[in-house]
Amino acid sequence: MPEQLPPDRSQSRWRCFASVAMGACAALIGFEAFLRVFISPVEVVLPVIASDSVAGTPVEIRQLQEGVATTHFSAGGAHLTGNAWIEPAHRVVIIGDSYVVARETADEQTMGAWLERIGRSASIPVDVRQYGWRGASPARYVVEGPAVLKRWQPDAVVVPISTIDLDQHVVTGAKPMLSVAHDGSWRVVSDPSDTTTWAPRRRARSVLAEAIESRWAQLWVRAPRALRQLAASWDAQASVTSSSEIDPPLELIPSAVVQSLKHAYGDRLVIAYLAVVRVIGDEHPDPLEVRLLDACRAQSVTCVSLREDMLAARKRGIIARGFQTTTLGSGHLNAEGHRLVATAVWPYVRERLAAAAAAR
Amino acid sequence: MSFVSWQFVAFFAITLAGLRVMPTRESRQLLLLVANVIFYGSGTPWHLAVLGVPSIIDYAAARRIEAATDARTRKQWLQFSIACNLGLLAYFKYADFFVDTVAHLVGTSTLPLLIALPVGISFFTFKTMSYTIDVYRGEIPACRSLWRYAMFVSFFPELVAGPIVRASIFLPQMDRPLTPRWGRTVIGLQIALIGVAKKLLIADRLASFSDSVFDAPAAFSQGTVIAAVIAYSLQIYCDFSGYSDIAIGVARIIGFDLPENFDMPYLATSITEFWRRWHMTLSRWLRDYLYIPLGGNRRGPWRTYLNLAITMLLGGLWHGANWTFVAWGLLHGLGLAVHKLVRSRATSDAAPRSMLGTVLSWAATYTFVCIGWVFFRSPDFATAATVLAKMAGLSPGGVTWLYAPLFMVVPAVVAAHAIGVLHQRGVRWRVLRATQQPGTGTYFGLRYAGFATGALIVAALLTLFLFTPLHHSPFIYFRF
Repeated sequence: MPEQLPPDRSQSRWRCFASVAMGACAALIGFEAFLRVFISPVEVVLPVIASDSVAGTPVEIRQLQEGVATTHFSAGGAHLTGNAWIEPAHRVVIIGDSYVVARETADEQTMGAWLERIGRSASIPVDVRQYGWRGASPARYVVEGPAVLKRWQPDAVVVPISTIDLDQHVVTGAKPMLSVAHDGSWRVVSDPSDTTTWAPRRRARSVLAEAIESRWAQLWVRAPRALRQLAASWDAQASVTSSSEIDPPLELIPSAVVQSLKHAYGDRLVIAYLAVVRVIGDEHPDPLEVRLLDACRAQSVTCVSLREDMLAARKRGIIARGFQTTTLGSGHLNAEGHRLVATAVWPYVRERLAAAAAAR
Repeated sequence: MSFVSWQFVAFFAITLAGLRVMPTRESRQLLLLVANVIFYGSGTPWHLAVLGVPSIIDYAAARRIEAATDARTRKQWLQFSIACNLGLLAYFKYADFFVDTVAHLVGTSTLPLLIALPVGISFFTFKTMSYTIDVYRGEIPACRSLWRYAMFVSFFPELVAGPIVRASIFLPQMDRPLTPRWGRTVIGLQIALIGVAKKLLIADRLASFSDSVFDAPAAFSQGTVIAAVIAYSLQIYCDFSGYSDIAIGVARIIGFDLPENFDMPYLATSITEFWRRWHMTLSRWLRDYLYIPLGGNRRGPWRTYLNLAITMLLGGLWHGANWTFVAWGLLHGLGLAVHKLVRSRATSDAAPRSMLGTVLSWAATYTFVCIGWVFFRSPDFATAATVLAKMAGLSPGGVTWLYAPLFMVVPAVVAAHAIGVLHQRGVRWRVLRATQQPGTGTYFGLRYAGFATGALIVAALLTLFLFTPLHHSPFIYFRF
């Protein structure tokens, strides 16, 4: 039998509408407050290395895209390590893309933090500064080279790179990017309007609005192609910037990347290749990795592939990528992945620190 | 066309608008039939023939059965109808399976026949078979109108994954006005939204975890594999009951009341009770058209146990053309038989069960069901054996993966079940309104207007928008 319920209280239409609207507003406010626990209302921290300083109040960044994490950045955009800055000490700079931004990894679990602890436990005082740009390509690291060397005079520079730093993204992504000629020579193509002046300003918009906008963007790229083309045709700007003018042979890119990084950092350079090792498979090097290692050998650049370390860790039940809310084995490095990077590059970093100490 | 796609939203909106403007009930019925054809034909158009030809045969056979005066002719027409339906099912669903099994037995290998499985074939063949059997038994009259019958067979909300609706329930409802009404629309939308949330927020979220673990169970630790099996138990429940909810909600908006398919099955304290709560329309179908014709419980206890095992084995095979499904069905059949045996030897049925006894019975039932899901989910016996060995701790080591969404889903599911249990015990809320029609189950919706309604609607929409996975898995039962 249909359930017998007492009739709803009679309300005027206006009161009814007002109470529903108030409920909706309360939900929006509640969501905003809830999301602020997990997402910070601060702009992405873009490094300005020349003006970065050890002093100053750190900026807190919270995120929940990959796991749930709270991280801290210096005023100059360096992901802090959570360890004390010590003087005198060897200085190491880690420079890279979102793997170094590492908003999903707690400060004390980043590769820089591990490197400091490994060094200090071996009685070698080390301070690490780590700078990352989300979506950056090797041209960015080359462009920032002079600023890195001038500001920190590092004894070693570690550049973690992944496949996306060795494929067509290097020459077709956002500027600065590399232009690679058919003879293998390279040059940096910069954007004159590239003013990476960092300002951790508070957002005018809410975290909820930001989350909705971000989600919409994710959904939009999955919209039917015809719909996106229609929208793009209304946006003249989009059609202009979508053209690509560079098409070098892809096999030349790894070599050009190694050359350009060596040009920027010389003997201080240590490249760490962040292999993809999922829960099963991935035992063999991928073609880009092979090209990278060949190029490094040819140009006498130290390059460490993490594949063997990741495979060994997997045998111990440790997967270097993925978080508690994402698929294990894919995505950014987790805390274990950062530790593996630090452990793998440490012998080569120590060589450079020893050489620098001897030179002094 | 999936229920959780923009294509379906557009399709349904256009259908509703059409129903709204059509002047007569007959024109609305015709519009619905056209909508059914578009819905089913949008995937693989020629599969409409797979739906149409047996429908015509069953329609004609039922008319002949009714018209026949002697029992032999009636039986022959029934056999012809059943043979057509089972033949269709055998060809499209089981041909590859049989050929592969025979080839394996004689020690050869064959190339797969690669027959495309028409979506929902298991469901609509059961639906049409039940119709001719009911006519044969004299329980319902044969449908006089071919297009009314076509409407029954092809009704899009429940066409591809149930609930399995019988003609005795559906056909009389065609005499309703079939005009979307505001009250039914509000309730139907809420029921459908509950289904969408179950599918997108829970089932699809857990799928990435359980799929990863079942793809390589040997690589994961004991705890992770156990968690993945629990995740799968929730995934398949929310996936399938979510589909049923959407079907029931959509049908209610159009003007039809479909039978409920799930009644909090994981609260069952015995395997018999589980099958009274899980996929209820299939359970009733198997009982009425397979178990009872086999003799049911009328031929002594051992024949009863055998009938249960045969019924569930065939029920397992109905789910999919794989020996793992047969094993799943057989496992449940044996479980039902053992439960019946134990219950028949119990000293007193009337003795109230203690709280501890209830909890232990629930735990044993849920564990048994989860072990069954291992066979259901595994692509082969080797995978199932690996998962079971991991669960039992016979294969140590492996990667530990604490998948956080599982630990958020479990309290949500427990809370939702608590609301259902409290309602059954007479508790009522100001915000929630329980809607119930005879035979259609109880659904909780919001009262029409008020502060909490506004807040909950916005919260639900934001949650769906922000937290559903970007990659959707197809409904699990679409494969059947």
